[in-house]
Amino acid sequence: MDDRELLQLLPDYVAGRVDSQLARLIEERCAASEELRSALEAARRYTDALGAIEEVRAPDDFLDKVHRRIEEPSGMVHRLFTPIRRWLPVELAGVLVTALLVLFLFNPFSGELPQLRTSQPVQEYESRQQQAPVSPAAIPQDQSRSDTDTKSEKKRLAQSEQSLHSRQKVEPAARAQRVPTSPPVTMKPAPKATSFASASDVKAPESENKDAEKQPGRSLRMETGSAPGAENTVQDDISGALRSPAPAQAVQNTDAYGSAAGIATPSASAAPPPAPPAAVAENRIALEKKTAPELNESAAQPQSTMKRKMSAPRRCVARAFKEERSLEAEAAPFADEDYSASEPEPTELLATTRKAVQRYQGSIDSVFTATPQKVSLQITLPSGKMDGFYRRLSRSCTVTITDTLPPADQSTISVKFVVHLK
Amino acid sequence: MSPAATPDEDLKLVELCRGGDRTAFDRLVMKYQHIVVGMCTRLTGSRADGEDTAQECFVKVYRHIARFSGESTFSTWLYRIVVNTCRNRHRSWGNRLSRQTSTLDKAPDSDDATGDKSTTLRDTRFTPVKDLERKRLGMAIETAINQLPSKYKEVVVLRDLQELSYDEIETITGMNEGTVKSRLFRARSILQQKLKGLKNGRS
Repeated sequence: MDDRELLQLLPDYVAGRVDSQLARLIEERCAASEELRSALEAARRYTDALGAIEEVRAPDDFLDKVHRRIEEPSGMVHRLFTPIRRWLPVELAGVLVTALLVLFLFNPFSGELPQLRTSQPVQEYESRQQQAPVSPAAIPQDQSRSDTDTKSEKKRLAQSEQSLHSRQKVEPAARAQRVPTSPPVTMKPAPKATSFASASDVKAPESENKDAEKQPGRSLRMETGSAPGAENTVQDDISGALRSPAPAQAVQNTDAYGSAAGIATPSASAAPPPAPPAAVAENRIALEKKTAPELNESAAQPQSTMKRKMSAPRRCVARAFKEERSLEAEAAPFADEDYSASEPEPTELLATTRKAVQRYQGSIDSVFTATPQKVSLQITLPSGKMDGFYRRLSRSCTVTITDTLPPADQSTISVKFVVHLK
Repeated sequence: MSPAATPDEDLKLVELCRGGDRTAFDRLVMKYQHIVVGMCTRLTGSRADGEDTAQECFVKVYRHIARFSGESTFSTWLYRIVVNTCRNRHRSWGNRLSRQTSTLDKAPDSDDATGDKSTTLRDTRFTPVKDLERKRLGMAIETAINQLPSKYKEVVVLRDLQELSYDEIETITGMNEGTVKSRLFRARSILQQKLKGLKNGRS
């Protein structure tokens, strides 16, 4: 046994709580060691001090107090409400504050809750539409953002469609009062839509779109905003633009859908709509072909399943985007800083036409129709380049000039023409 | 300081108490009340808190007497309830608040070790010098024990004041023997240092 263990045992030795054998050992070690003797003296003082502590005795009425405590109610309820004179006002105040808080936050006695939920996305959508870019220069040219923007636009359209439906159900009267004063809701395509690079790619969504057209109830309905109850279906416009059997009808459909003011109103449809900016029209054509089946699906499906349903069109868009990249690489010698140079083409014919325009340092002002078989557009070329452009384009296409516009200056010439596949 | 070891008698009283005999419970209370009040007073550091905690302990015994399995003696089971109740009280918010406020006006080594000021004044006035010195020593060690951390205070109270065995202390506190001994050694060292300082200060 070392000194430390002995030191631990010294108070017990002083208190007489060790056996005789251990007591003898401690006495021998203490006699031999000065340090242990001083420790033994300290232990004696410690034990004396402990003995000097007065014994604490229970009071005489301790048992009665225990009895009273046993008999009094216990538990959380007792602790919360006793003494009742002190806790009741506090708890009443707490209940009152909680009730006021609930009233303030949720306002269950007012019918405004559905309106608050539905009007906010609509207002946000309308304000976003008012700020939408209408000129090609305002459209961002970052090619890498186009895919993301298209997806987000699809989501916004689906959400707005849902909110509009719920709004129509919840508060038709309020909507009827608010609509004439509010700016018209326009349907804006993605700032830069991805197009299909080949005719085969264009046909695939078209066939899907035809399937969608067979289900008119699944079309996306949009509020016109010009008069109560006046509505257009986006699907009608989209399918009209896609069908477009005649050039005039195609131009009318495209204008009605793609005008900068948005979806045609009853009054607007009576008058000829303004000519749309070319890039916006092209974007819309591309977006229609990409999103029409998808929008139909998303309008019919719950929002929770929309993400899964969008996976196939996303793959299609990604493939088309990849092919468009390869086309751009081919047209690299002709590319310049013009917006139209990097704009994806909805048809191969339009791509060919655009290449020819770029080759002769011209620019496309407007695209009225763009189908795989026919393109109708307005361009501006340098005066001396018109003949060369015409000859080059006529090698692969049939070019019909429909109108010659007064030139802005002497060095350029603007023409409207229709290009058919040979 | 512990009552005569009569586990068989305690077990009989416990059995009667389980059967609803209120008198048996009263006998248990009468038998252990001074020990429990003393332990609670030492562990809580206040006479009032000690009494209150002791009442709470006996209420727990009355309500949970059916849980006593008989694996240990009734006294060990009771002391475990006492230690756990005092631990809970020590951790409680109200107790922390009262300790924070009470320590402001209580200087170390003051005569008011247990908060019983009237007793202190009476003792200092009317006891002979030797008894007075002894009482002062006892109060000083009480104050020193109260200032110990609770983990040291427990073992000192159980071993040196209640004179329980190491086995009982292990059962009551849930610590092993090594931990009990090391804590006890550390606590005794602290207390002896304080007593040494007290003696040097007077000399």
